[in-house]
Amino acid sequence: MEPVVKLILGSFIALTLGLAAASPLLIPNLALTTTIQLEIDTVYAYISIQQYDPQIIGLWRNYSNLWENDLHIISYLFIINVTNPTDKLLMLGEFTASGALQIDITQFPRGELSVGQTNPIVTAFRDLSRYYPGWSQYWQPNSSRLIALSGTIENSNTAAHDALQTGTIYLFARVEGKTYEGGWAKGYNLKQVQLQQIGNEYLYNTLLNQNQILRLTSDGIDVYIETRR
Amino acid sequence: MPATSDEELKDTTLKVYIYTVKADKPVGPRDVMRGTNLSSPSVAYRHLQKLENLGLLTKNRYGNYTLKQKTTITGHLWLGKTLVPRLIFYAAFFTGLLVAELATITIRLAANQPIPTELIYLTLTTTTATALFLTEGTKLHKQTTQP
Repeated sequence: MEPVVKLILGSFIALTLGLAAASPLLIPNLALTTTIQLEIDTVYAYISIQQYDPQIIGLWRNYSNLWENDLHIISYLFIINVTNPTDKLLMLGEFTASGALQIDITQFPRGELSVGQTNPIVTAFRDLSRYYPGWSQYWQPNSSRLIALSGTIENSNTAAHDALQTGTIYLFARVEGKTYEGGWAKGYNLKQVQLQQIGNEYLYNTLLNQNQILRLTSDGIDVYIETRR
Repeated sequence: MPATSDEELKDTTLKVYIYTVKADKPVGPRDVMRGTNLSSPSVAYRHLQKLENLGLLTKNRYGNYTLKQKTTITGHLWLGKTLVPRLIFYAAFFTGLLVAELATITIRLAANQPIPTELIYLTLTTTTATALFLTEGTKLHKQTTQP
């Protein structure tokens, strides 16, 4: 064998040994390159435009000012169904749910999403990736959980209010987290729905059947369905 | 392969020895003088004699010297007739470590993960070690190969 070949071979073996020696450092980090696609769906949306009687003193809001007639106080409850379709343990912590007249999504090559909303009605975001008392961010393999995002907002966009009254809006949901090994776990869903109008309340329901109600845990995040006889 | 002490086989004597090993044919003092850039044939002769006394070369009846046996030289490896400093292989080993560490940093950056301070220190240390082994190894290689 030529000396040069021996030199190259020897150097290659030494290089490989170096790589092998550092492999305990490298291999766990390879998990970071993986991204798991989660299944997510907005299964329930409840939007209510609050009415206040200006004659009653002490209500936290009233419409005593004319300008406030265009300012709508909206209470909302979004329920998203988040499924871990893999056999990996996941830690999910960032949840978004929103409703708007029009929602456009652009996905960039590295997986980032750009979400553009026209006449947004409600946008709710929860970052529960840090410790949140009483709530577990772990998703067992092949399991689903219902997550609630609720609250009250002010919306002065009259076009959004008009869109809500027509009942046809877009619902967007997004979840982001990590695998137990450190890789990314992401998912989003966008759909156009027809809301059911009941007075000042608007409903989209693919979750509850007759005799069923929703029960929220004390932290207001996990949701269960209860069947009543 | 017998070992020879570093005191006996170093500097010009080592160069003469390496030249004789590479020549692969009987060499005389004039060949050695030209091949190793010595000042005179008598200087070359003195080193050839020293190597003969060490039992590394033999003198034929025409007054030329041939290799009797290859000896181990501290800090070097024989690859055929080429003497390679071990430091080159140490540099290759540390290059392997460095590649793995840089790959780890790249993966963490691409995944928007923080880079642990320990990893930065480790990579800097490995980079320094690789550079030192490579520089010293190359220097040593030049010392033994250049006339």
